[in-house]
Amino acid sequence: MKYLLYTTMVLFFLGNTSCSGDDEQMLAEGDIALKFDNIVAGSDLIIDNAAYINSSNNNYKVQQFKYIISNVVLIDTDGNEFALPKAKSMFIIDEADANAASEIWKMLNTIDAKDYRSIKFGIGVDQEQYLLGAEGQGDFLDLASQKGMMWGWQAGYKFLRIDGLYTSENIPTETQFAIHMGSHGSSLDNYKEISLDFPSTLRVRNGNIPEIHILCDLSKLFDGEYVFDLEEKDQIHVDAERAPKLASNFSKAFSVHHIHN
Amino acid sequence: MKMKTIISLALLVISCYACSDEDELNQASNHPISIFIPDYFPEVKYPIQQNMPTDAGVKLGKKLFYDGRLSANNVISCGFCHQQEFAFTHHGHSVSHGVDNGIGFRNSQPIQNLIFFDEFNWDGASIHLELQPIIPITSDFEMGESLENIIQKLKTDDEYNQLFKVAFNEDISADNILKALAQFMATMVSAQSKYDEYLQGNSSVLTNDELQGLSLFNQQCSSCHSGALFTNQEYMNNGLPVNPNLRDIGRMRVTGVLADSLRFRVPSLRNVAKSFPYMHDGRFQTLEAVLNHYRNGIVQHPTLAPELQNGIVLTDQEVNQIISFLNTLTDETFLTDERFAEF
Repeated sequence: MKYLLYTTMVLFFLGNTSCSGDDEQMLAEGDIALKFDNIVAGSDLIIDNAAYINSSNNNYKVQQFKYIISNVVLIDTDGNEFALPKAKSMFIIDEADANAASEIWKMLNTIDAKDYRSIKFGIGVDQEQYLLGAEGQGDFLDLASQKGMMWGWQAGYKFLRIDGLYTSENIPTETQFAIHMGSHGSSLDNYKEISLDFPSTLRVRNGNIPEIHILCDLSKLFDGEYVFDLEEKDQIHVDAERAPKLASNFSKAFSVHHIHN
Repeated sequence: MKMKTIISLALLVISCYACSDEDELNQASNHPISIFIPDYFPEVKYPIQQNMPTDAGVKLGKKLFYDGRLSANNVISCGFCHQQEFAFTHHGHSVSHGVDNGIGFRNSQPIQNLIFFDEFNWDGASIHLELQPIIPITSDFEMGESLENIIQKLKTDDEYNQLFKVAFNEDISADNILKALAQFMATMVSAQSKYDEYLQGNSSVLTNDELQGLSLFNQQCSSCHSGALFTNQEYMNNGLPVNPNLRDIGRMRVTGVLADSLRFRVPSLRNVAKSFPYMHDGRFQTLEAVLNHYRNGIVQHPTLAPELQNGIVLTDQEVNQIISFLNTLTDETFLTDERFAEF
């Protein structure tokens, strides 16, 4: 046993004092911090107390706001893609998890050390992932259940969930609203992939943790190509007509505000 | 009699495992299970190669299936609503009750031949066999539990820790709980009814009435209840009047599409004599009641199946003959098979 330990220690030290010649063969890697920042047009999103207004004159407050991000891919300055392993790039961005600065941090680990110019990710869970069955879901299933991001009547994920209260011209008393959007079994796929350019180059290096500050503008969910008025319908759960339009609106809510290297 | 079999290549991989007495025991338990499927059955839709049933996996799946700890009150196991004697349905219950006096709104369906389907539940709410159990497990009026809690409960049981190690070479996790259940369900193929004997060449096994019933069935019922599993696997509206207590919109609940309103998945009729009561809400206690509905109970609706626009015309004698035929779909071997039994 002691002999084994001694040998291991020797190997360890040998490995760490390797010459610079070895560095060329060793692939340098680093981490990235994704900072999600949920906003409503020009304001930070503040849960419960702050009121916001959309172009349909719905006056609304947000009690819960969550969405699923998956399949994160980084694109380097030569256009090559670096995809994170699927299981390591599924996140639930939950406003309730935000820090004092209203940011939600998610770490991306062991990224090839290079210069990157854009990021690609999916909103929700793609059908291929879902059809991998039990193994394909990993721990994400439990996490999604805990966060209320699964439909109990369908073993399927909610990609986006916003719950709150609103008043409107014809609805003067505060009323609950909810938009829960996901794929509908195998018949309707609301998963969307988007690509965001960085305003400056992101440098991943061993030992340094650069940050990507991503904004998600909730106002774009209501006011996009489709103008959604809560008076039309304030409970969206399985709405084959509106869910795809809302998914499309929401896919345009994201942007990269800045990079910290 | 032709058969096609599934034989796993997993054995090759497992046999490369390091050798010791204990491991030899483990190796034996990792033997793949052969599943016999008649050649007139439809194609296997479950991606079985990714979760090949092994002796250990299936034993584990069965233990989980009958374990009340998968529910919040430690009483409601899968087997509670899926009883073998009744083709794995809930004996005599129109809808089932779960934890905390919860009451459901759908009739418990047989667990049989599931590997030939890729959508599950009356409305196709689940599109993967491994993920289907999440619905009853997490439903607050069925088992009311979470996979996380189940894992904690099972970890206190040495037998489970051991079984998971043998079956998956891993600790207990949500994945392997669901995979074990799927392996168990995969083995539940029902293909040994009297009617199967007939299909396999024994023409004298059906009586005259049963043969007449078969002929009538093929003329009047088989456009929807088609093939060896007696279902076209589609969602259809069979003209049932809406139950105002349940207001169940069926497939539309999953797709949100108006054209799917009041459509439910055509169920398999294998073992139908045992899986009463019938329909998505268990409203019909007997097969006579079902056939009488088709004769004169059909309610017109925009999504009504075109085949049923004018009902199905049958004499009383024809009704009896069809029922005689349907009784030949009972597979006693399946209903008493020890491999699926609780005791």
